[in-house]
Formats: sequence, C-alpha cells, structure tokens
Amino acid sequence: MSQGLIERRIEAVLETVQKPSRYIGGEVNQVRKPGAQTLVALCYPDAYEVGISNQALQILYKQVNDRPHAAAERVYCPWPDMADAMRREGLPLFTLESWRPVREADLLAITLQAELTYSNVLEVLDLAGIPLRAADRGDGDPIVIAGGPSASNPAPLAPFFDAFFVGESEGAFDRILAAIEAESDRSRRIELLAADPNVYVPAHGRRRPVERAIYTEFGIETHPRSVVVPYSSAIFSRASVEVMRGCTRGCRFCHAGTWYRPVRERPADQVIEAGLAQLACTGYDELSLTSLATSDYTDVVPAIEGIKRRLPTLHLSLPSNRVDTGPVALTAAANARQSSITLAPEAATQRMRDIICKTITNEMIENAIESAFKAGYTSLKLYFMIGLPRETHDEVQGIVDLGIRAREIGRRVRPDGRFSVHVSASNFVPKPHTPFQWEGMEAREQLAAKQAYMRRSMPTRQIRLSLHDLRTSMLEGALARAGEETADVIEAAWRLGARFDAWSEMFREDAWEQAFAAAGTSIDERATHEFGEWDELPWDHVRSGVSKEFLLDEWWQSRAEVATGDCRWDGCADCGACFGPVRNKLVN
Amino acid sequence: MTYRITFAVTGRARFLSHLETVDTLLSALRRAGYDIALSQGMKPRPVISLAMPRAVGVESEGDLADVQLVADPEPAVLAGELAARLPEGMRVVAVERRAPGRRAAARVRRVEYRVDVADDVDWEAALAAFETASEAVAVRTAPGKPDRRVDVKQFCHSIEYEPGRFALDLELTEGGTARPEEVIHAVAATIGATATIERLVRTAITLAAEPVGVET
Repeated sequence: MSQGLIERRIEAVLETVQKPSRYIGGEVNQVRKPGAQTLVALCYPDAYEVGISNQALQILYKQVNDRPHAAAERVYCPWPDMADAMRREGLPLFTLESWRPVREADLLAITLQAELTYSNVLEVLDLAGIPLRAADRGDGDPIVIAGGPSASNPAPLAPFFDAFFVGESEGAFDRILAAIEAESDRSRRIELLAADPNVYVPAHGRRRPVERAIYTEFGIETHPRSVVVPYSSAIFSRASVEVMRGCTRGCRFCHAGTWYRPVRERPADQVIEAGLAQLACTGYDELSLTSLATSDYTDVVPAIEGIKRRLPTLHLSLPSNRVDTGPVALTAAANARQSSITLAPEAATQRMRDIICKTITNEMIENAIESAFKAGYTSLKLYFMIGLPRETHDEVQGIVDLGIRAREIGRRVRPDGRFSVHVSASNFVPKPHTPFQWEGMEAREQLAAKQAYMRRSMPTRQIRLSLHDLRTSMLEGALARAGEETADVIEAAWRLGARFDAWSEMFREDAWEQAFAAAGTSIDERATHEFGEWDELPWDHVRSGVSKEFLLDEWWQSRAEVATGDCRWDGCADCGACFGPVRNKLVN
Repeated sequence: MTYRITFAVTGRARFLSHLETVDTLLSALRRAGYDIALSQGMKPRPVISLAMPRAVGVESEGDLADVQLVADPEPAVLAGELAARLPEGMRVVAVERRAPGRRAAARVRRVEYRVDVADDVDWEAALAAFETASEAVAVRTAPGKPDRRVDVKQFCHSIEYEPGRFALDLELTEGGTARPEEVIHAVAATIGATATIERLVRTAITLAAEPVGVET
C-alpha cells in the first residue's frame, strides 16, 4: 500500500472514530525531519491524552531530534474504536509526525510507566504488524526496546522486547541511538545493545547484572524548553519544569523513592529561565514545578518568587507536597486561584507511619489541615493507602477519624461551612526495588471488608470518600512483581480482549482471570504471593543502585516499626545509591 | 480591545473539536505574547466566542472568533503574529477590531457550504426533483429520544450544482437549520439514490446586521 493511499484511508477511518485529533499530529512544536536516516518511534502505550503529558517522553523526543541524522516520531495506543477500524481496513499503526507505519522505524522505544499498560504493549505491536515475541522478529522489524520505571522488573514482558533500557535516558540513551545509527543489521544492533551496561537483552539471558543509568548532570544541563503542545484533550495542559529528581525520604512503599535516587536539584535561576521559556513557546497559562516532593526542593521559595515577579498572575502549581504547614503556605502563595489542595498523610496512625517510614506526626497533619483552610482552600483532599503491611483495624479506623477531624477543623476555621473534605484511599501494591518487595498484597476479601467498613463508618456530610477499584489493584499487584512465566498470561489476556486495563470502562477482569487460570494460577494468588528473604527475585539482575541489603534492612526496620531518617539532613543510611559523581546534589 | 478573527481550518486540522479549536487559538495568541482578557466572577475564563461550532471532520474557510485582548495591537500586526503561530491546517484569513456589541454567535443568519460528492448519482435530475418537491424530510435520531422528522428544504436559501460539487446556502432560523449532509442526502433521496459525500467545507458564515459599527 502506497503512503498516499495509507493516508487517504486513515483519513476516511478518522471520520468514524471518537476524538480523531488523537491521531492527526501536527501540534505546535512537533518536529518533522523527513530526510533523517534513522527513525525512532517513541511510544506511550496508552491513549494520546495520557501519553502526550508524559515528561520523560518529551525529554527523549528532544534527545533523539537533537541528533542530526535521527528523527523521533510519536505513537500512542489507538483507542479500541480506532484499533478495530484499523484492523478492519488493514491499516498499520502509524506515527503522528509523518503517518508512516511504525514497522518502518529502526527503533521502537516503548515507555513502561505502569503495569496496567502491559496489554497495550501487545496491542501496539500487533497493530504495527510487528511479531509479538522478539524471537519471531526478523530483519524487516524494528528493534523494540522498553524503558521507564516499570522496566525495573522486565521479567513479565521479557519475551516481547528485544532489549530493556534501565534508568534515566539523558546521556546514556545516546549510546543506544548511536548503536542503532551505526549498524543496519538487526542481530548486530542487538549485540551492540547487549554490551551496554544499562541494557538487558532477554535473548542473551541474565548473564550479568544491568545497572540503572543515573544522570549526573541534572542541575547543569537545561530542561527542554520547546515541548509539543497537545490539543486540549490532554490530561495535563500546562508547562512543567522538573525542579528536582529523586527523593530520599525513604517511604518504604514508594518505588520512585528508590528508583530515582540520589536527589539532584536544579538551581532556581535555571528553573525560572526554563519555565518562562516553555511558557513562551507553548502558550500555556499554567506552570507546574514538578518533582517527587517539590516542597523539599531547596530553592522552592526563590523559584516561586522569581517566577511570580515576572508573571504575577500566572497559575503556578506545586504537586506532590509534604504534609506540613510550610508547603501549604507555599502552595497557597504560588496559586491564589486554586480552591483545592491535596495532602498525602498516606497512613493515619503514628504506628503505621513508622512502619512505612512516613516521618510526620498527627500534629503536623492537623496543623497542615488548619493552614489549608486558613489559606482559603475550600476543598481539601486527604490521600491514604489501605492494605499496608501489618495493618490493623486501628489504622483503618484512624483514616475515618482523621477525615472526621479534618471536618471539625474545617468547621472551626470556616464557620460558614463552605468547605469539603475528600478522603481518598488506594490499595497498597508492593513494588519491586522497595523494602516491601517481599510482602504480598493483602487478600482481596480483606481489602473489600476494609473498604466496606470505611463506607459504613465515614460520615457523608461534607466528607466525600473515594476508594480505588479492587479489581485493577489486584491485577497491578499480580503484574508488578511477576516473573517471566507471566508473559504467557499477558499474551493470553490480550488475545482474550484485555486492553486499556487502567480505564475502568475498558477493564476486562474476565479475560485476565481466564488467562491466569489457564496458567494454573490466579490474579489473587500472584498478587498476594510473598517472597522469602533468601528467594531469588525476578528483578535481582537489575541493579537500581540501592543495595538489596539496605532494602532488607529497611524491611526489618519496618517490622520493628522504626522509621529511618532522610540522608539529606540526618546522615547517610548507606543505601548504596551514591558512588563517584553519583550523589545527592542540592543547590546549596 | 475586541477583535474578530476570520480563520480557516483545513486538512487534518478538521478533526479538531470545537473546544480544541478554541484552545488552539488561545494558545497561539499567548505564544504571540498577548494576554487575553478574563471574564468576571469566581472562575475567570478567557473572553473568546466562536460564531458557530464546527462539526468534527468539517473543513472551514471563514470561521469567526471574537476575542478580547488586554493590549490593542494593529489588526494587521495581530494577524501576522497569529498566523505564524497556528498549527498546520489553521490559517488566518482576516482580523478586524470590533466595537462592543452582541456576540457573533447570537447573530448567525446563514451558513454556506461546499460539498464534493461522488458522481454515482444523477445529480441534475435529483436537484430538479428536489426543487419541485413540496418538502424534503430528514430523520434525526438520538439515543433515548424519539426520531424527529425535519423538512430540510425550508432552510435552503440556495443550492447550486456543478459536476461533482454543490454550493449550499442554508438559513439559521429560530426554528433551527439543516445540516449540509442532510440536504445532500435528501436531494439524492428524491430519485431514490444514496449520496456519497467526499468533502465538506464550510465556506462562509453570514451574520445579521449589527447597529454598532465596525472599527477597522
């Protein structure tokens, strides 16, 4: 089929699907390099509006396009109506920039941001006409490489990828691109990748450990200024500057808290310059200062003040703040237009916060709630988890009590009653490379009983309770710490119709149950599986930099209900992440 | 200062929704360095209004947007700066200053379309039959609602045909209007044929006269 005919047929199909703008490309700041010798397809395996907001792919997009002979083109997972129409019409998956078939790319790089996108990985490969299994691919197929945080456990997707890139792309991914540019032979390309310390090639087995790439120039290199401006359907339509990477608070449930160590900060003047430049070239009216905990960023005040001085009415958002009065005041100062604020105590009792290493007190939480209402916020969201290790009835009751306490504070501070409290509780899912990686997820029945108790016990007047879908949480738990044997299950579930598992209206639990049953197990059995401390873990060959001994020690500390300090202020805890130039780099 | 921007949406940009079109215009203006005036109230919004939403998939050559800016640039300057910042498929046709008055959306009287059709229908005969028919009914269906029968002929100000292409001028009245594809299908139906529409372009939007003058 000629390119012209493909384009005419795609346009005909777009007349019939929902939100056709997902597929047209042509957005402001899109880069087109028609003469480039090497085509790299960058894929976020979810809908356009989710993928286009991903900062990591924006960084990678610039990184590839900065190379003179390479072109990056984007691809997202087509929504089922589009996918079905493409199959019906025999149309291949295409990139947004040139509408070229993805299969023509030299490299297809798929970011794995969450386990619930795994079935979409197969959907993307199938629509592209690329054999699902790496072993079945030949010379006409692109090298299919995975990256992103979920590549920290490559096992369940191992047969579907030629390679996994482990870690941060800046700098290190240039070696991957150079290897692809240097060779045209598929097997030679894979050999070059297999020799890279940050790459795992499943076909070569686990012959050596794979190190996580850590970008040491974070505070020196500048942030991308020119980013693709999505059409308005994107989940985040705002400029953003990553002010800090990594977090050493040490919350024991948090994958990112291990995976992005150590802490690296960007100086305020760079943040201001990058933010203003990005606003100018995107036309956004909102700027987000992003990180895992922006209120921990040393230069947060000078950065806010510097931006506000230049653009006083700008809508400035600070996501992921700690529960403390300082951050609440900061957030209020940054954005006078916002009426809602989210605080994340994660757990409602001191005991549980010691178990998970969340070093805040009840007093700090209550002060933060009071500060939020005094600062004029009328909607307060409190975020918790249930099903954490060694959780008792007291912890669940504590969430109910804290919701009620927040309402009491609201009534005292805002006697006009114009406020609401939103209590949100998600289900704890143990993740690889965390101190809780050996723990099983709590049984579905237990979680369901806790959710039912919270629904019964939480007053409804001025308090809204939202609880995460147990079905998707259990699947996430079954996939997060899965081994290679789960690859067959993922393929079977996809063949039975699973796709877009993170979208509740699309979730096909029956397909997953059937696929796990065919493998002689179940979602719940895999999700609740506990590893022994001497067990070999499916991701043991992937080295995050944080030692397994440290994680094990932290696991034992959690059993002793003892929190560990933050190495930025409380001394080194010897986690293993720092060596040579890799170390915490705070701006002062 | 309020400006009326006449703009075209063609090619793949026709797949943008109405809201996406509005946001694209706003972000292009911001990239050009213009602050957009905000409405009053608890949740201020940029002051912008399009004369008529464009259906997804329909191209346009003369859509109208009224937008209020904080600054007061020359229309030609604004046109140039905006044109340089619109994405592929969106183009500035004209920019003029507007004195405060009724929103364009409240004053749309007629809408013109160009419709390319496949030549598998005897269109000359169909149009002749359509013109002599007392009515031409389109049936509108909506989920959960009873079907509605609408005589689309009453909204046709004029229909012109040249081989492969119709030019429709449709009225917008208090009683509603007709969609261009409804009219084309109704024309074909008069001789028992089925139309295949190959391309649909909204060519112009005509507004009712306004007592307040236009500053240029």
